[in-house]
Amino acid sequence: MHVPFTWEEIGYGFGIPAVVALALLWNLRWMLPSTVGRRYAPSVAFSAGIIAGYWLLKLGPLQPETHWQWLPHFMLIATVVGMISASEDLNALDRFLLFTLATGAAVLILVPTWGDLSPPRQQYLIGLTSLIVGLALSYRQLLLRIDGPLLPFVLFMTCLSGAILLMHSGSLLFGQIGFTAAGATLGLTIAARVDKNSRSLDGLAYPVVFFLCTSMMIGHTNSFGKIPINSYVLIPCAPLGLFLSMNGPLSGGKGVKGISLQVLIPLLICAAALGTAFWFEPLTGTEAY
Amino acid sequence: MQIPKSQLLSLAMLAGITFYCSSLQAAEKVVKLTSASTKIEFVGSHVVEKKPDPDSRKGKFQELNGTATVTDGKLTGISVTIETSSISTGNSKLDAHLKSPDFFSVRQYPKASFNSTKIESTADSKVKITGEFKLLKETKTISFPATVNHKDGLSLDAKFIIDRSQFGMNFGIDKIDKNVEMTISIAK
Repeated sequence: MHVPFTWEEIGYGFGIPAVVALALLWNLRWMLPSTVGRRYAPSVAFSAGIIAGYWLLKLGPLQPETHWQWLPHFMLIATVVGMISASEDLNALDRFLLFTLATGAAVLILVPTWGDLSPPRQQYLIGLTSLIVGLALSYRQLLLRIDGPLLPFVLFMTCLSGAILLMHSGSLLFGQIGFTAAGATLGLTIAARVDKNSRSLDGLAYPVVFFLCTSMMIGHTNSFGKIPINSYVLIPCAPLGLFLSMNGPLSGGKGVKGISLQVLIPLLICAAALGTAFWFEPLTGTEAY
Repeated sequence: MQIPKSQLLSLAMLAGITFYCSSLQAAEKVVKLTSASTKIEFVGSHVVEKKPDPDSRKGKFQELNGTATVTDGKLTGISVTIETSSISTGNSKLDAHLKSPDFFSVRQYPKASFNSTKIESTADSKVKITGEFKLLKETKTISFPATVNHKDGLSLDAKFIIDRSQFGMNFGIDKIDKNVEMTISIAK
């Protein structure tokens, strides 16, 4: 198989984000008081991993020149929103308003202003904001109910699928941005596997959803291929499959078999998204151009 | 009424100067450049030890417009604007990749342009064209040799190398050569 990246790019764009996320989650949980660490560490670790990879690979300038180059800047804001949203003093309405306000402001800059945008920009703004807010509130419920490495592993799988979709959309650069998130979530998975203190990832919902949805929007709006919008929408929805895995026949079992059953539905959703993308935009055998 | 001789002389001189200037203007000819008459092609190569790269990729821009100015039978100016989204290599996947922010970022930079600032004659039918080339966000001065023929209209052929990294097109620089071979031809 043709690997379009150099080892240096894989190291900077996947390995370093994983190490940064792992080290930060671990250390912040140990250094900060437990209530503060619970809120701050996961979102800081995830966003720092992405930003480290982005800057090391010089994927965009510090001063943004076009819509997608604002993504790392808005990840900083998403981190703060994630921290605030994990406060136990907030109720569901507070979180809804916080997510809506933060997302509504961010998408105004992140969604391009091209006249030929399809769907039109107004629909894109409303649709993307609704998707991010709805998914962030749902992800939070998953984070509160699922402890341990299962959820970060599903997030890793989702980010990895997102990175593959971004690459297949026609831009290796966007694919590299996607791989930084995959690296960061792999770091969180390892931390959750080896350290009991790193298992609660409250606060991570908003930054992860924000990254997944906005990176998919960037991939879709900049693509010159034929991949349908459904693929881009399905990817961030994949972890919701865990709601189905928590009960019924898929919830039982332990060890590798148990985890395999639990990740089955999210995995199928990712596979459906990628399968649709490759169906409409098949590999031609000339990718190694 | 009788006009003084001095005034008659001045009028005659003025008429002469006007005629001379108009004859000069008549010697300047502007040739319209379109994709039908003008071809801008490129060859991108991989970073390989043995050159030329057998797997190099050829491409062209299918939409462009501009003008060439010929004064007294000599090429004195060229101005071309290229629609970057018209890039074509015959491989739709490669076209999509070249249009993406990895390379031409055609959404952000839909046009590239060249405006000559100096054209020097170096030998019979040979000129050195210098001008401002705008690609992505960078505008750089480039010079290249060209063969020009003015008989029965204008024809021009040029082949030169540009360094894409000078224009901020740095993606995949370890695998895809930063030097891109350009070929420009204007047919009669």
